[in-house]
Amino acid sequence: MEAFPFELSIVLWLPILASPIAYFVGLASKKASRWLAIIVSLIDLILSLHLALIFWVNGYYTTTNLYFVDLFNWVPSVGITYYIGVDGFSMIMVLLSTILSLSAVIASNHIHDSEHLYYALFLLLETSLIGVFVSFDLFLFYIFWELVLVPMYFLIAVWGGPKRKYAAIKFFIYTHVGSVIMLIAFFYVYWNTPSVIGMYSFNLFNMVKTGAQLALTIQIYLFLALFIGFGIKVPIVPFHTWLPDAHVEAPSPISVILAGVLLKMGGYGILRIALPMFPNAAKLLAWYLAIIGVINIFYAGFVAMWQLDIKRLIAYSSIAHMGIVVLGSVTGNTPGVAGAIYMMFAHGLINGLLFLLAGVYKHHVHSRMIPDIAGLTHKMPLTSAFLVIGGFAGLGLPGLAAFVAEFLAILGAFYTWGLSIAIVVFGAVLNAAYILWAIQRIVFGPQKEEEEVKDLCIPEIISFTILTILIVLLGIYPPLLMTFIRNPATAIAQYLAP
Amino acid sequence: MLPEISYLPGIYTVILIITMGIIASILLDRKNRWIAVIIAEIVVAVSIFYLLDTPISQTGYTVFDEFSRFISIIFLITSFLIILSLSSELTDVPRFGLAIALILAANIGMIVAVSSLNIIQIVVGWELAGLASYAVIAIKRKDPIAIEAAMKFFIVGSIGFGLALFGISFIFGATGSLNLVEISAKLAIGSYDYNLIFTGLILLISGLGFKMAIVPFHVWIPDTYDGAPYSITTFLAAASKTMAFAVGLRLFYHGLNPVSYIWRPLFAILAIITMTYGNLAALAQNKMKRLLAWSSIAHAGYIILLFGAFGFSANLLAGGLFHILMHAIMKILAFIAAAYLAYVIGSDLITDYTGLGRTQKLVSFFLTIDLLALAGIPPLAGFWSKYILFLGVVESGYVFLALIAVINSAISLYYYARIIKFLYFETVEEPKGVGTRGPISYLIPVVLTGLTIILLGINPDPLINFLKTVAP
Repeated sequence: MEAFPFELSIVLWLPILASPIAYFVGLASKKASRWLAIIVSLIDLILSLHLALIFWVNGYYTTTNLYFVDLFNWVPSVGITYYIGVDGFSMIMVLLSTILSLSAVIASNHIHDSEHLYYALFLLLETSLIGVFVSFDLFLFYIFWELVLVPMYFLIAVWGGPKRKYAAIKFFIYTHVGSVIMLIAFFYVYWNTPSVIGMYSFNLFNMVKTGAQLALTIQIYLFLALFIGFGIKVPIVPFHTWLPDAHVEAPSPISVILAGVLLKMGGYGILRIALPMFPNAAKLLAWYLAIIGVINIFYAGFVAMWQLDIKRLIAYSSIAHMGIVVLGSVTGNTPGVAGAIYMMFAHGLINGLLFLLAGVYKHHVHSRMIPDIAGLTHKMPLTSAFLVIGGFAGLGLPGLAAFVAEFLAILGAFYTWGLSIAIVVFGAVLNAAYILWAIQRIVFGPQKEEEEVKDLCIPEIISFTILTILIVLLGIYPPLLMTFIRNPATAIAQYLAP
Repeated sequence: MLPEISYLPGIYTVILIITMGIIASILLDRKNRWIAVIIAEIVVAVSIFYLLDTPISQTGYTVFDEFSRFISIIFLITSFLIILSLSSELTDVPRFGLAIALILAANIGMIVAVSSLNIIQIVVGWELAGLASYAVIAIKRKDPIAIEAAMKFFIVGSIGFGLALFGISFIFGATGSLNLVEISAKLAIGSYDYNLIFTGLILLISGLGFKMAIVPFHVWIPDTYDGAPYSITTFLAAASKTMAFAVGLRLFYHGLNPVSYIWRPLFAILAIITMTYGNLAALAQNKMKRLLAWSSIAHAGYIILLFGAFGFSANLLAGGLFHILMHAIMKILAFIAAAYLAYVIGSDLITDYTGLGRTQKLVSFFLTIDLLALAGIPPLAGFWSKYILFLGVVESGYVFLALIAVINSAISLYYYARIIKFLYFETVEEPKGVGTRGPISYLIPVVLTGLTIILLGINPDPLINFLKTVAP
């Protein structure tokens, strides 16, 4: 089986090319732009599944090479290339982006204001997200990284909740400052490429080669710059405060993208760029980074405990899960890194589902506060069922996706740091506590009779079912994902191996 | 007669062609304004193609090298677009042909100034361009604001010219020559009077500073740019300033490079002050023209990094020339788009642009592209020029300067983005400019420059490689 020529480029550029079309047809007919966005996202998903299938069938996962590579000179005089490709890690991140984009675009049926602009921005967002995961030229990577901010800012600021302007600007400033800090580190390495490679180059592999040869003190500074840049996106405590605001104010489909894909950009950057580029600094700091991960788990867990807004609660649970990603990333062994990557994928699906459910409550019950939405189980049986599944998956119940990830990450941490890391297990307990408590209050609360509410509609059922099937499938048959992850994870782990 | 003309170097031929254009423009009066415009456009177009086709040559002190070709073509392209927009803007001016003639005359001056190795010849061209632009600002004789703008420009320009001339006399006193090649050779030996050279350089930098719009010689800029008709402002920002930078490059890179240890730190300080002050002042502007004037000052700050970070980096000069070109193109788009929007809504206030993104789609789109390019957003052409320039600054070893420039660039995003916010993201009850269309002669320059910015952004490499071969 072979991919079509430029198939990955098509996956990447299709949404952005459809974006102006969605805008203009949307001026004529609102339905048209929604259907166009759905069809384009569907085609993108099918194409990326096709790529993943080829990846699997041809056994590409046995190496860490890049496949489906499109490499062209862009501005050779300053060493900038158009260089996209995927290895196992990027492949599953592309899949995650396309799956969640389709789910989110289907779940956008509650958006009625300036639909043409909404879908145009949404498609723009989809391209920039995929672009982050397939670019192996750091200049291109940075363009996509920054491009994500633009549609995201407007999607929050225009279609968001009551405090949307504040949330959008806070999101923009935080992440933009992070990217600028990251950019400085990129440039420092870039300016040193001539002394190692013999010419300017933004090629990731050349930059990694250069970064690894810098003096240790400089490596430490640059690693911290990258870690802050990526860490704001992850987010790591104390740079996390943009996240609850942005998640709560964003419309639900956009929260899905925020939690499901946008946060993964941070983890992806740490694993793909920061660790390989400055391995010596990372080795030195690994223990502190692990502590940051543990702080994330506990801090977010405690804060989540007393949230009444269900969306805010899910947002904090995201931060806790991202703590596990940070912890797993720096363990320096295959299970740990694989666990981190697995968590990125699983969390995308689980929190995607949970945010979509929060959106359902918002639109059907007109509130997201736990006391208001409690006791409607008999009116909304399907919603409650999905909520229970999503909640169980989120707390890491064996047999569901997040368990595999947590297990692997903690196993990896245990290999590296021994018994002292057992404290993380209490984090898992905390995690279970706030989710179970929330489910108990919402699903099993006293019944309310007076209100008339509708249950899920067909498109929602379809997209929730797909997500649920994936969550269960990844829980009971991990090789489905591990096949893709194993070799890249081993390669990344080797940079930190003692 | 004809064979002899063909032996003339390209510059003289172009001057001859343009002179004929001037005569034609004056003879064809207001009633035949479109004929005057068409003839002037043909003259400019022919000049462009002639210059593109002319081989490099030198006759006496007059040189025609890649540098003068590149800069002259910037002037001519600017004039081509300006004459077009001028034809719609000055509909009520009696001597319309005169305005075109003055712009063509300014072109002669500017082309002479950048095609010479003799300081006197440079200065003569400079002043010819200056006189023509003073007059053309005042072409609306009934408009007191335009007259004030012209007077201000005239006074400041004359002072600047006088200062520069005075400075040149000091340099002549120290080196005994007005030929840049000889000056460079004399200075390189090292037997010169430091005080004479130092005083001369201070005066020369001040004089050029007025023309380049660098702080603290910038005070005339906002008023003059604001008072002049849009097209003329465009001409000042795009062509007149380009000439100042080009003359500066000739003087400092070619003639005065042995004393770079004197002028380099001066320019470095001026660059920092100019870009910072320009950007901070632009933050507070609410009038489009004034905002663009301040942004033009800030960009002058970036461009004089050419002198402030003088070193032996090929990227510095290439990036600087690229940014000079991009500054011209971006300012043409910005001012003419502002003229278009002002024509449609009758206001120059940014706050009145509210909702124009919905009613004036094409111009708003290109204006947005342009503002993003001015802010240096990749992958637009304005980004590449800034990027290569700053890369050159770093290569020359002045990381600190580059850092300040980058921070400034980040600040500037705020006021550019604010305009975009008003265009697209502010809601209004009554959208302005519904169904009104501006003149097509505004639209053509906007679309052409906008496409240039996008296309050069997608593929800047050939231009960068070409610019690396260009030396003043």
